[in-house]
Amino acid sequence: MTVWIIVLGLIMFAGSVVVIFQKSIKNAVITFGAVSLVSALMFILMKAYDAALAEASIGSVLTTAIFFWTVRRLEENGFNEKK
Amino acid sequence: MNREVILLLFPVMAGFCIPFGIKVSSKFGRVISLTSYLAGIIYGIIHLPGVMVKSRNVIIGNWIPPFGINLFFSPFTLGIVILIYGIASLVLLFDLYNTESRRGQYYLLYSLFVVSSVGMVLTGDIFNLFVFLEMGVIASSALIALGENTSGPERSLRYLIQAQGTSLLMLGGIALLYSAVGALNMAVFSRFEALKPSFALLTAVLILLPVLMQIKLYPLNTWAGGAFNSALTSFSASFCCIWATAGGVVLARFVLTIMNNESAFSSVTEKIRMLILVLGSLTILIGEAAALREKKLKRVLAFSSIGQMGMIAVGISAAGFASLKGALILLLSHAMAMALLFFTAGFLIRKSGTDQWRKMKGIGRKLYFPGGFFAVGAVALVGFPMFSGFWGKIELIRGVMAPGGIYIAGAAAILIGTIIEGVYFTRIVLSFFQHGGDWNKASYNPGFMLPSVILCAAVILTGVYPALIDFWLLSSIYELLNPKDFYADIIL
Amino acid sequence: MKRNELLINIFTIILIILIAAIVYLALTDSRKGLTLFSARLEDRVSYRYLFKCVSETDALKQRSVRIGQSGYENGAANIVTAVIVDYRLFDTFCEVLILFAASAGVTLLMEKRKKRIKKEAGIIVQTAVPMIMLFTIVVAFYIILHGHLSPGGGFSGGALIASAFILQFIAFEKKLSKRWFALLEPLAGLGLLAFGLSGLYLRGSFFANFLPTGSLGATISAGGIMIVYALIGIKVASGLSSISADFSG
Repeated sequence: MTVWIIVLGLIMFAGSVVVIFQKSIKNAVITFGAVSLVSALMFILMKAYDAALAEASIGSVLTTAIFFWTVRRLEENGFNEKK
Repeated sequence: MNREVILLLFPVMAGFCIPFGIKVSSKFGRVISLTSYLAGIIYGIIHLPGVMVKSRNVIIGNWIPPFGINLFFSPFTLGIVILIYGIASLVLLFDLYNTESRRGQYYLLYSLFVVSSVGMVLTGDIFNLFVFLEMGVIASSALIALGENTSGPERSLRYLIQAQGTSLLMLGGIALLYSAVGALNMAVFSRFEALKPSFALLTAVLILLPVLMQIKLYPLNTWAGGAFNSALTSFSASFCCIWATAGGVVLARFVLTIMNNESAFSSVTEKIRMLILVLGSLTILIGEAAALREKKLKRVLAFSSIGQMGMIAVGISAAGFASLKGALILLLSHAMAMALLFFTAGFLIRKSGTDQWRKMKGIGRKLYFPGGFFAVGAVALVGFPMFSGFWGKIELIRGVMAPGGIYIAGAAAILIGTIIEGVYFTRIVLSFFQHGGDWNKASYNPGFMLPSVILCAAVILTGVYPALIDFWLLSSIYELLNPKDFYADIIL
Repeated sequence: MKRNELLINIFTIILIILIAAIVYLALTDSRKGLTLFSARLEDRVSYRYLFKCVSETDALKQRSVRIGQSGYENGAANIVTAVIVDYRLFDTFCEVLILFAASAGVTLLMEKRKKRIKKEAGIIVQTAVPMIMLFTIVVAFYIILHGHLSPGGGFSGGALIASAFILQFIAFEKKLSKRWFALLEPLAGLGLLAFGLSGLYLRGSFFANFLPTGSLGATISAGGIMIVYALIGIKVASGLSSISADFSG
């Protein structure tokens, strides 16, 4: 159990570092969503099922979607991350 | 019975009703908000005599305090709540005439902002306080973003990031404190076995950080100038008066009630007070110096408010009778005078079309009412005799000098700050009444005149006849200085 | 500019290391006094929550809580729910207000999209989303209504419902009108307020649980907790959906 928690924690840490150094916004957002999914798994391991549910739906669905909608709004107004 | 809790619920009710009401009439939002604040004032005044006799502990959900959440109704908290409701309703009165109609969500957020300030003052539970703080931060960052110019969202984001960061640290501090004490009620902390000094210092700093940020103390006030400048005038006024007043009360509650000599923090009481003293003194000097060389009128007021909050923090840190009396008078006077100054500044900026005070030269000769009100607010803030700030500053300097040692430096900082304040306010008022500049006469609407006249009267009345609030001051000081008899024993 | 950035980065890292060192020293100090985890379980307020004996003034009378028994001061089998929705309901109410403030702020500040670039989702997504939505909403209702028995409750269930609606917003351009969410949210809030005020009227304290608690573990038990969690679920779902509707256009 403890081993799994440590492994998942390391994965989360690595994911967060990847988010920071990601060049493309969209990739960073996807990685961010993945990190919060892993943290939901972590909550399950720690037997906090309600927190896991909330984290899975808010962290990986809501925030990812909101980030993407924001990127879409930016692109509609002439923002292009390749420039 | 625990009916007093309704005092907190008037604006909540108004907030929940607004989305339905604006389907019927576009004026519904402002009318019901104003009604709810007036109801709050009346309800508070009705309960004031009873609370003056004995403070009330209002429990929620029938769970007794260390386990459930409680609200604490004392002369101190109830008086501040009435003040908050009063200023909120004056701001709405000002809003009623001086702005184009706003969407319902504005009034909703404003109501939630008022609720959060009132809740911060009343609550007796540290986690509940955190939640109220968070609510105020969310509501006020949305209201800052709705600014008069395009820099609103950026300023709001800056504020939001700092506020969220510090409140996250506060959450960590609360968790640490819970793991050591095993309760979340502030009355429990105020008489508990001593924490280890290093641990106590760590938790105390973590818990104090957001409060220090909200009252704009030195290292954490970089957001203030821009936020106040770009927000709507009416919201700058309420953010400066209501939120800072609530923050000052919370600071006093933390430093004097929970971190007193017999509390869990008894090992570091002196260090915490010293920290507040040093930060407060630095804040006074830096805030007033920044105000001295600032060109934009609303930014001058923001920096001046920073300086005033620094003085209040110094007064609280000295923790004596006279210094607390000074700090409390200054808290009231700051709230009233700042509201007056922001109203007139907003009016002048709108009429003159510029936000720089040098370009408003001579405006007071034509618009003598706003000019006069500005002058009254300025002298009240600086502390001329016969105005409310005077008694505050006198008592404050006397009280801060009393402990001696490093506190003398604090008193010196207050003195220097007052002098700088006097210099720049004199400069601004003189430039308003100089010859030159051609301004048209303007008509005054009741939405500008009524709040200004009320605030003017309040500022002068408390200055001429300070005995008016003496009883309130005395009971507040007793409550703050004897947390065992007047706080913990009533709650637990 | 580049050099400044580097300096700021280095300064930040040094600051973080310094703060970490201070925190470490503060937590591992060996002087006398209370410190991290020094409150024993029996001394904490949560111990009384566990054994549902907050209202008793003397020492713990009852040392066991059993499924199927009745007469407890709080009838929720799920301890977390008991704390969130009964013992500290006022906090939860304020947190709901925070969400209300956030959704109102987003509504106030967000503009409608002006230049729309339309990109329809593919056929697979459009076919799958309604089915997934159905299952998600059913699970969410289960979670909300069984909040007093099993893990979860109004917040998680409400967030699940909101994520179902987000899937719909992603897949289809035509979407449910935002108006409904904007009205449902304060309606649920008024319901919560009415519950609290009836507690004040009937039991003499705001948010007092005035309904019978029933036997522990039964579906209909725990008094008002079910009602409160249903209202919170509606409020969270409509609040989050309204935020995402504002963002998506």
